[in-house]
Amino acid sequence: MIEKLTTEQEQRLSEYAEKWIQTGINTDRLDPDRTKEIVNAYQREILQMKETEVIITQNPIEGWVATVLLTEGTAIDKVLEELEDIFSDPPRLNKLLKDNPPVYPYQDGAFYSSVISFYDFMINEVGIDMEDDLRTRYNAWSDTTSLGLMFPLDEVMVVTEKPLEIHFNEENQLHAEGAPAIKYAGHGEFEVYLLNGVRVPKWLAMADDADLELSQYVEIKNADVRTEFVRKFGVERMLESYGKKLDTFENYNEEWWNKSEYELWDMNAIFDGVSYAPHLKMKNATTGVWHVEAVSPECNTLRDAIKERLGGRDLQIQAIA
Amino acid sequence: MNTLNKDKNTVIIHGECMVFPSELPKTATPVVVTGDYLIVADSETTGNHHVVDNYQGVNFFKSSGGTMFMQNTKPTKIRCVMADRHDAIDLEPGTWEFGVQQEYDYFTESLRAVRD
Repeated sequence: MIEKLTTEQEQRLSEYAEKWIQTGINTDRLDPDRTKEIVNAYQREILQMKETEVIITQNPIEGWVATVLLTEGTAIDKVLEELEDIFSDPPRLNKLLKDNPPVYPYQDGAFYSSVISFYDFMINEVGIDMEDDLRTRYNAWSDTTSLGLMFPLDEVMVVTEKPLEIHFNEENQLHAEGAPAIKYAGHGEFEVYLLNGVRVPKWLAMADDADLELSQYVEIKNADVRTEFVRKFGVERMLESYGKKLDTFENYNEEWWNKSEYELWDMNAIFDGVSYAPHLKMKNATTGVWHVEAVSPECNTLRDAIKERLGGRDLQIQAIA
Repeated sequence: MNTLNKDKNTVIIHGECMVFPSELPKTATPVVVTGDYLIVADSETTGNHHVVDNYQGVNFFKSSGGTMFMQNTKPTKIRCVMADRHDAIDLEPGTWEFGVQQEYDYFTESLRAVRD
């Protein structure tokens, strides 16, 4: 029984983490011959089925549509041609996706790198042994991390390419300004927009800071997305240009109000027909990022606003994170 | 990591999630948690759930109104799935109630739970 890693083993954890992160975010294009080798080994050792042909599609949408077409009888050698046709016929594509909502596949390739990292470390560093047969199966499973998603069918395996681009910020959070943070090749515009790890609408990721309008802010329902708007728009520009400070933590002797730098601002300028729209400005105690959240017109002081945020309870804050 | 006590009339704020020292309502029923943690405030769009670690000695309950409670005889902590967003906070043994902060919607002119 192994109860504790040695110091040397612990020191090597980060090396394995980095190795498998790089595998997970790898964007190399698939080599058809190597892909078929991996798929056939996976079919043989894991699925315990016959080896089949492999169809490589450019992204998960294409992969799913190809899978549906194949299950509905499209010939294997015609499916890529059929994909071209269906993606040029939006009504037909929409009907296919409505009738066959996408299903996440049986094996998800590079997305499984985090799981394989655990086994890789345990086998190579901790010395977990396995019999040859199991080792062969493990290798077949591990090798799938160099592929994209895998949709196994009886007569063919549909495999998707990995993303074409993956972008991060300095904190290694998925992030791209003016571009998708994750972009796939192929049909269907498979793009994912993220700012600082938060999935945001395309318009927010793509907009120049100067072109953002506060009318867009009030339409956002999600607090994290709102925070990204504030970060991009600029909290000073937002409040000092359009708001009026009503109350501040400096007027109170409250430890955590001070730490979060709570302030109450009237932001009625961003709403049509609203004469008073108090908002609470606060700083995330962990990240230092500013948040601006609406409170009701019943709130005239910071104390009113914080009480309302806490569900109407007049409570002392003993910690914020 | 911060360590906290169980003073009444206090609250711990973890993102939009609130944790109150509390008492277990008589109508509360046990919540079976089989995983390593329980989501006490879920993130519908970002996946950055606020969770409480589920150890032996940590028991969860739900009131008839749907409010989540916890009784723990051993320390546990509230943390985020994405650890860089909010530091973890220790929750000492006791009875705790969970809630979500409120925000105002100027279009519907009503309060609602903060969503992320």
